[in-house]
Amino acid sequence: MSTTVMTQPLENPDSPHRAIEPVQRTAAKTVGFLYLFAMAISIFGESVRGRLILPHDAVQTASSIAASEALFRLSIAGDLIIYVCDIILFWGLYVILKRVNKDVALLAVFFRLVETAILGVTTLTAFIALRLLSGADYLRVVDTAQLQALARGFLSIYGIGLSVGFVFLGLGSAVFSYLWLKSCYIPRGLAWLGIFGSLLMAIMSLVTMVFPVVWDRVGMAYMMPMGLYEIGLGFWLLIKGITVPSTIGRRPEGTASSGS
Amino acid sequence: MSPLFKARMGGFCWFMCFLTSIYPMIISGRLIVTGDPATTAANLLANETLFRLGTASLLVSTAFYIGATLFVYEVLRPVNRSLSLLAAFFSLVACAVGALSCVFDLVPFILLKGAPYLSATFTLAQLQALALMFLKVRGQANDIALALFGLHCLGVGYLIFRSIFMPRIIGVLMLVAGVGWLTFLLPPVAQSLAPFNMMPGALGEVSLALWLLIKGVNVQRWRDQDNPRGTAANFGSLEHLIS
Repeated sequence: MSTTVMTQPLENPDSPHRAIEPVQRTAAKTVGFLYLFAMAISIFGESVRGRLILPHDAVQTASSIAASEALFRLSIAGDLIIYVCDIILFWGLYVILKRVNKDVALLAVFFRLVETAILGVTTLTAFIALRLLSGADYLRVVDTAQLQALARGFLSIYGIGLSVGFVFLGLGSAVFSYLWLKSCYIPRGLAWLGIFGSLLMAIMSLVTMVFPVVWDRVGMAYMMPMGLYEIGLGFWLLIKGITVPSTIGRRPEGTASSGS
Repeated sequence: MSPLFKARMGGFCWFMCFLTSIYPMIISGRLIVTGDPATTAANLLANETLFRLGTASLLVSTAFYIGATLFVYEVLRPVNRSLSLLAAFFSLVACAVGALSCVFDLVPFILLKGAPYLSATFTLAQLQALALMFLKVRGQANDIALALFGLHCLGVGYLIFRSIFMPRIIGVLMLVAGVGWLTFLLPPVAQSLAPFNMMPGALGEVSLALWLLIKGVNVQRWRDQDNPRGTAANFGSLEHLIS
């Protein structure tokens, strides 16, 4: 192996077929952990909000949030923790996948940074709802029923913000999945699941935005492939890590033209 | 990826961004009546799908702009790498703010579609007024995004002007476009100047998009500016040995 190390500077520095660098392995473990960690937090947050926020009942929603305010705040804090983890995740994915194609990896990072900004600002709506329900003196001039209705309305805006963010989440994740496919660092089936699940998420987020009827029918089912992909990729990277394709002679399609 | 391919992709994305942003402007201009919450509400409810299609179209437009940002950054990187990255960062923040405006776009439907918890506690007129207010917040978010896009256009215009592989006139047009978008920092000024402050934007961006799409860049000169010292052929390994 020492001879291959010596000749490396003469090879194309962008080739994914060069030996995997230690920083890529570290990044892969980090990314694997963060995918699973963020998934666990988001399942927790969704279940808390699913229990506390009632679809068409402002009064009940207000009283259930008042009864479990700490839990509700914890679920919002959880979302913010996910967004912080996400930014580290994009860095890790960029470090791993820039060798496949640096420009395309940067495109994926751009999509996902915009997503994170949208989702981060969206959490404000939950804090607005909490303020409206806070019972502060200065709000006494407004009817309690009206404050509760407004709070419930702002929690619906939270949902809109999520689906707007998910458009960019899907696009960015699809681009990263495409690079996984080209890299051959992970099984091709997993990468294809990522491309399919991510595109489904981006497209269906737009479709449900235009035709809310579709959302009433399908609900969150269209996010399942994406969820499976993130969990699968998380476990794969954490346990197996990334591997160079065993047959160096067999170049996967497209990598011949990769690099900038 | 070859510089020509990047240029073509940049031009394609920018042009598609322009095309997909026309419909949302037309539909919201037709349905939103300033100062008349009742008519606006009636218009929105009667044309809900058309209006929602405008919101989705604006998001698609934003996605194309992110693509254009990446490819134009790559094309202009040889002129000045850090300035090109700075311009891209302005654009990314603008894209995030612009996409956020789409959230406010859909709030009126929450207020107006007769959820019992709202119709029991507010009068119809109050809900319609709130809906119109959220549409105005949407407009304000859009203005902020446009001003930030202006900074992106200024950066891109300056870099094109200093490049040796694209015509300087397009750089000048983009600089004027950037100044036009910057007027949205002061919405009253922007409103009194409209549509004359938007015309240079349209002219500059369409000419840049079409130039990149059809002519691309002068590849030989692009490589010269990318690597002023050595020959392009062994640049990759040279850079690797130095670093």
